[in-house]
Amino acid sequence: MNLKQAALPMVLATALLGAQLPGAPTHVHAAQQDLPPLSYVCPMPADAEVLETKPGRCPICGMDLIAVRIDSAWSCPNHAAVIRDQAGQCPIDKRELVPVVVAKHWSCADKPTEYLGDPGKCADGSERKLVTELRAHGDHNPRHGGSFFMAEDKWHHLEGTYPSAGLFRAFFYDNFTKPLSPKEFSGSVVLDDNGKDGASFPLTAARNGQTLEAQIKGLPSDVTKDKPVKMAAKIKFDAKTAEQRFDFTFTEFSKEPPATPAANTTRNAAPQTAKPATATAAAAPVSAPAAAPAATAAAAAPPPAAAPAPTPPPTEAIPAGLSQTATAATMSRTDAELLASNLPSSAPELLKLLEQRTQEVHQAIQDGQFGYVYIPTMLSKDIALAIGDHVDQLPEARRVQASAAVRRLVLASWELDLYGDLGNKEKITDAYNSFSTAFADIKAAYGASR
Amino acid sequence: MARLANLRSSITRRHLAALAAGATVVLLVVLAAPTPEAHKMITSKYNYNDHVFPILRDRCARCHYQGGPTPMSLTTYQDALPWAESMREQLVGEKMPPWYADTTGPTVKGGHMLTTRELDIIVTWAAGGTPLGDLNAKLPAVPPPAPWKAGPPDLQVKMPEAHNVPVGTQEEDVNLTIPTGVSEQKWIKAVDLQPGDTSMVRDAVIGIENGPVLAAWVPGHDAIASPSGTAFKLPANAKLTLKIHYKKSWQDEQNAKSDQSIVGLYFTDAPLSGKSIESVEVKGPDTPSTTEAVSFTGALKSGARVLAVRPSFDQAYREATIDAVLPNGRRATLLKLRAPQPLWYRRYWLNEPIELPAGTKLEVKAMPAPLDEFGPPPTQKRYPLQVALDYVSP
Repeated sequence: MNLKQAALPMVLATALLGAQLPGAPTHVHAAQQDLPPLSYVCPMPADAEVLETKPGRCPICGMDLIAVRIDSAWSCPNHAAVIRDQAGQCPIDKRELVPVVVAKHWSCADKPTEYLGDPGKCADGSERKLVTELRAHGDHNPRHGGSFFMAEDKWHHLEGTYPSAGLFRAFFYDNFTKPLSPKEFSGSVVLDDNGKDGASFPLTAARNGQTLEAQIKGLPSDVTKDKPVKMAAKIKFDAKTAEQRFDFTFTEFSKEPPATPAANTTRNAAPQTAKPATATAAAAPVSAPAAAPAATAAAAAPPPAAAPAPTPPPTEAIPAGLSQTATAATMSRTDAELLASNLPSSAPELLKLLEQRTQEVHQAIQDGQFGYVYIPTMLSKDIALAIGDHVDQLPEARRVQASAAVRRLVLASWELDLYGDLGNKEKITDAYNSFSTAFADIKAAYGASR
Repeated sequence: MARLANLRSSITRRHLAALAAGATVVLLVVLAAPTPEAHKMITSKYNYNDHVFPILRDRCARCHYQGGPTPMSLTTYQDALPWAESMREQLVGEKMPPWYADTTGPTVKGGHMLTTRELDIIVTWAAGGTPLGDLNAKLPAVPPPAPWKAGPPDLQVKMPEAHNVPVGTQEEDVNLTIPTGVSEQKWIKAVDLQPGDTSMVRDAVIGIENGPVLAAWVPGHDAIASPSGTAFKLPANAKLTLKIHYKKSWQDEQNAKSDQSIVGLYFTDAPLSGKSIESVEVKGPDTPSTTEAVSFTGALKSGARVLAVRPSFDQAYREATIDAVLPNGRRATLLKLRAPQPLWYRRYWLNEPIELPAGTKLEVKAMPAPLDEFGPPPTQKRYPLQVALDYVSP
């Protein structure tokens, strides 16, 4: 069976579980017995972790919750607006549809923004229109102190940990960060050998059946920032899709985060995750305990019964002030954004700043901090755009090349931003090559004597 | 590249919420807070109403309007939102807008590119929570573009009868030969097409029977006139060939649709030379999709003043260059393309026509775009890999 299909019953099961929680209202009338149970969600799609069983207010934004029915469906991998009830081909590009989680509601023409939880008649006697929307998910927080990546199908997610010398452990999740059984997955771990693939070790099911593990021979008894352990997990999620590569760099042993006390927000099991608290920690595939509960209602999310606990606060201090010399290892997103909003006004100063950021991007990639790469890259593209505003100061013969180079750097930055999430070193390296070539061309255009 | 709509995207450190109304407040609060650095509800400093809509209206609405030739309108927030991540993927992959002339190569006429800043604004918005902006703002409705953008044509040649694409058929190619009904020789400087059903006419190739290709038409087509003093000869009683590619919107798959398009011809005076624009084709290898660089060559048997280049691609490429190597060894680039796609076959009129002597060798080099895990989409291979030059003999 296709593993994507295998995951669907789990989604349905979680939705159904929600209907059976104590205190859940019995909204299921005879006419709607075939419908998924009613759920109450925040109006804003990205607040998807809020999934209540009764009306109320969104704990994040305070707006009234809206009634929806969580269901499974199928969608185009590249055209998510297309939602179908069954598997099949995408009508736009003929690719195979992928499973998604949707929220269904009904609406009437006179009040199109009103969410109605049931089909039926509108005030004018017409049938209520079914509206199907994709549910957001949004949690890339590692659950076991490892590095968290997303597969290219956007459905599977993988967390790799290195809990002790020579042991690599892979945890799998769906697109709601709900643990997946790895029993139909297969793969291996390949050690890095000076940038090339070295010895390979098979991934096998752990004793509890919940993870895949590889016993790696020949690794040192300790791991440090100076002597990191680099490896790639090559995972085959099903027979149809190609093996996918996830590159890991461990600078210390992964530590299971301690459990967090449950809070009082009622939740279903489907979007069962806490939001990442710090962008840096949430995004960075660091091997230390990574993400903290946010100082919002999201922090109140109780650990679902079947899922590991949310992660504890970060142990690293976030630099408070703006630092133009912040390095890739320390610059926070807020630092980067403050810097972006206070850019110097001259092309030479901007160029100098861009060179520093380019070095940071390079360093982050060298260090295997793929999830962190987006911070210096996003800053770089903002700097490059600012440099582009000075194009009229260049000799005319150089302007077209300079503008084209700025465009290439911006595009490469957005690619790095995405590929960092995928954790695929090859794609990151490709994008970085485009990025660094574009930077060299910008430097040649703006740095040369006028 | 990014792929899914932001509603399901898992690039979610920037997609964590779409609290449109409270975005500004939240941002300020977050920015003001020293530590810890809480997550951003919305990371995009650009919103739809103020920043994204004007760009989409000015740059994209020639096709992406309600009822238009594309499966999605982008001219309202509700329309654009589900496609946000697709927009990001298309823009970062340089697939859209479908105008692939590289600005670092020879300049060409027409085009509808986004500036780099405009591109960044849309991608930032798509990746950063897709904020709406002022909830009470009322954006103006974007009307569909007027028919015959170049003005009423001198001659309208209508398909003799409507073509029906039945229920269950989503895509179809139709080849027609249509009499012009013109009994005297004419000279054509530009050609356009007015679809009968805009929503399913995906592209069209219009030519003269046993003669040159007059237009490679795609939605948003600009009927660019051939350079002054040049034209396509339309012999007396000539027939037009019309190859139309129908593709219904995904929402219309189960609807029968009918089309009766009209070809518009714009006439001009006879060129002093009396010579028509002709075409020569250089065919590339017919191979399965590849990730290896592709190159192929051809030679001009006679001299030519090259006016335009019509490249067609069998798969997505990262870049392509079409060079002319003159008999004396001198090399001149005719056209550079970035990220050309297998769809959107079109003609690029050169701003400055180039004279090539007989014996000139044409060299085409193309670097395929990397495949994603899904491989090449099955719909890709519509056209062969080839380069056609439109020229007049000296």
